[in-house]
Amino acid sequence: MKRIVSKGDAPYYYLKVLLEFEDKTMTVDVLTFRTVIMKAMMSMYGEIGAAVPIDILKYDVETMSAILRVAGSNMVKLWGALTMLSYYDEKPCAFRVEQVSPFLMALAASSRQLLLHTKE
Amino acid sequence: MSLTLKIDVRPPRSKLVIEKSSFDDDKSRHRKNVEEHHFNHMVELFIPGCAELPPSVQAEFDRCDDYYLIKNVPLTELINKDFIENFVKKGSLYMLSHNTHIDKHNAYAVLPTGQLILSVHKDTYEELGLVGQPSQFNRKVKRKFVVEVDLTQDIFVPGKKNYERVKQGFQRTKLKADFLLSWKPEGTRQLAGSILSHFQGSYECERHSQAQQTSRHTDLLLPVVHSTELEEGEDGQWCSAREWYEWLGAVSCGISCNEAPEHYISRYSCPDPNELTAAAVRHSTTGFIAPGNVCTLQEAVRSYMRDNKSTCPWAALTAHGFVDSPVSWARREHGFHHGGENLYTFLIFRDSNYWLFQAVGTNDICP
Repeated sequence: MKRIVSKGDAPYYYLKVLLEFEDKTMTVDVLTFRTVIMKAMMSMYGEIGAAVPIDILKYDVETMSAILRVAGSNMVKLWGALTMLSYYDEKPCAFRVEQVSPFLMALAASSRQLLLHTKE
Repeated sequence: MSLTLKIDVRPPRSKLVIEKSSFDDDKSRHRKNVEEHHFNHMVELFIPGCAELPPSVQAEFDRCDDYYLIKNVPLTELINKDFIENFVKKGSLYMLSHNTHIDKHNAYAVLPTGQLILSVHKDTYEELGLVGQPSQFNRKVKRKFVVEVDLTQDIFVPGKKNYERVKQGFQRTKLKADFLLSWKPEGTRQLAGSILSHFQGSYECERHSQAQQTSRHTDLLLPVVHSTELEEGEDGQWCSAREWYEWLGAVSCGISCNEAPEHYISRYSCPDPNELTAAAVRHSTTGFIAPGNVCTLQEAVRSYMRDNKSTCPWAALTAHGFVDSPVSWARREHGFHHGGENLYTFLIFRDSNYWLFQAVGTNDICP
């Protein structure tokens, strides 16, 4: 039997986020979505912030929701920048951070959104 | 005078325990791990190399017990003598308060071992007048307290000092909650449904069944792993356990990782080395799942893997715990801080070796 225990800072963090525009009819494609995130980082942390590697692992155009991956050391910066964003291209918008976890597996389900199923 | 603004940019702490062992090993803790993880809300199985779920495994998924939602139950009902004698002591009872966020509300649970666990705010704790411990996760502020009441104690009966004190505390505070409930009676003489008739007269009860879902993959890249090596191979012959775990998470979240789409969007792709599999199946069930069901499911997967007819290199069984449960494994305290993950994955190989991944968030004790 062998046991490996990793404690403390995880190498990556995963965020399940949702972008919301005041104008509900507005949608953006994945490239624009990436630009919105980059602009948010830029306005908060400047050029260095904009250069932080952020991966969009999954993006759904319809709901404008995404799963992001960021290095553990940059997680708080990204979360902060997403929270502070209020405009993109002079259109009011906001990011909703729904779930944050150091394990991608944990984003596969959330018991807070558990729907009780009844047999028909 | 200069003022410096100190921002803590460290991410919340977390723990991942990876264990390698064999089902045949006498010291193997696979069964204990499943049995002690009381509250599961989703169990999923991923089998590569299979287009359809094996019938023996599907049968176990179908056999998962129904569960009940009982609304507005006062805690005094849980120390009712009939309830303790007929249900707590005569089977495995799992109860967890529903829609109570442990970081904001009071949360309660009844474990199959007969303990009633209360995770309550300071105000409630003081009004309750019972002996408890301050939560391990905010010892300095003492915002939350954990109280344990052993329902199965011989002296915990009406008339005794301890019992009356607990009863008065519950009556004074008028604590109540909606409870998810699952009960497995000892032996076969009683029916699991009899617990429903106990509550039906006085409370609104709902019966729910587990919701199953299947997704199939074709032409999927699988990372190559070596059953006896958790670390990455020196000359890159196999992937590390951590890389594999991230990849499985990606598959479960529905992320396509056969190729990275574009550097600007994402740099993630299936770890190297990898091999192509023609088909893979992922099946999940969601609800309030008792550990007993997970145990039988694990056995079914093991016997399928032992079977020579199977062509899959491994199978992965994952159970997600409730984020708002006051305990994670056994009676270890659990809390919510940015996330309340408490989940485990078994990677089951054909040679009866297995890897166990246990992942917990910040407010959790190392499993």
